[in-house]
Amino acid sequence: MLEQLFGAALVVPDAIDRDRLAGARSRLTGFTRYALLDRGSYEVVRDPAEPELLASLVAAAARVTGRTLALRESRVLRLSAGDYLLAHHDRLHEDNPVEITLDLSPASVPGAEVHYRRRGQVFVRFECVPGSLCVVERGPTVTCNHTYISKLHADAQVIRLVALLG
Amino acid sequence: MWRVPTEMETDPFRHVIVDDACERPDELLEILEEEAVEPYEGDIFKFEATAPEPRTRELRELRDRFAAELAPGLSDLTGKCVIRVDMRAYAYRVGHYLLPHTDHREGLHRVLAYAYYLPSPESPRGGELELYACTAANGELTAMTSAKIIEPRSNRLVVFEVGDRSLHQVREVLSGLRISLAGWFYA
Repeated sequence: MLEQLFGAALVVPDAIDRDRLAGARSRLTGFTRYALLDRGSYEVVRDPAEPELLASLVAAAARVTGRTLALRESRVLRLSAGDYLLAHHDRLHEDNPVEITLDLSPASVPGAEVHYRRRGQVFVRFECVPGSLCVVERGPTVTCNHTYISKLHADAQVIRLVALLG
Repeated sequence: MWRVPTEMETDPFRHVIVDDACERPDELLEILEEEAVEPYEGDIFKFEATAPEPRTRELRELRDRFAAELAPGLSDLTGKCVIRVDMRAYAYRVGHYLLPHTDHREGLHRVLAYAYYLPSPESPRGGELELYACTAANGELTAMTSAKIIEPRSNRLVVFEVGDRSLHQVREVLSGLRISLAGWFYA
């Protein structure tokens, strides 16, 4: 169980198996590029058609948080070398929703992390490990950014399913 | 000690590039030898830098001389009176970067930003200063395109105007070491 504190977090390794992961990844289409560079550089699919996968993730998040949760919104982010999402591009949440991030990447990418900060200090570093799941309770002072993907990893591809639950 | 620029370029925003900017660049490296650098990492940057306020008398004197020699000419050139300057040394190693941003902060009175590239023991690949042409609406940038890429050549000084559209970045260093002095001129 998560602590009953705003901003509590948990990382679940191997939250889904490799076959399911590859299946979800292969069904992803329709990415569009976001390029307001003072906020982010990435590709996105909004509201991906993955009802079963999302339902299982919502159930998993409900178990670990002990809260009754429902899906509010979801998107898939794809970051290549040189991409990032800044905290400036994130939204603050006053009603303490839960945010889940499932790593759908084909392979681990060193240094590619999701950072959750509370009052500017990083309290969660979610590394790029395919199949891992991050569950974060978003208190009103929690912000999120996706770190810059180094061009030293020219072929890197980081894919994350992000869903907001409440 | 410092070459004073005499004209500015205007595209995508006002800036000037001065090559052979310092008469004795090797002396600057000696000054920095006693100044410790620390790693800094945030969502938009990763680099090493000295403390915001110089720890050594030598760097404080260098900063003050830089301001005394350049501020009058830059004031004439830009039509904006600048007096004070701050100065930190930066080391961008492989994988270090500063993502697109503007330096404009309400109430800080930054007028001009500058970067001076020091001689490096291993010239950097990457680490260029990239300037963007931007459009804005309601105080937010709504579109941007890359407009100019400035190589971090040894003994080159770049000065540019600070504004809410002066979007720029330091591209990732892919090899070598990029050493610079940088900061802002203030009103």
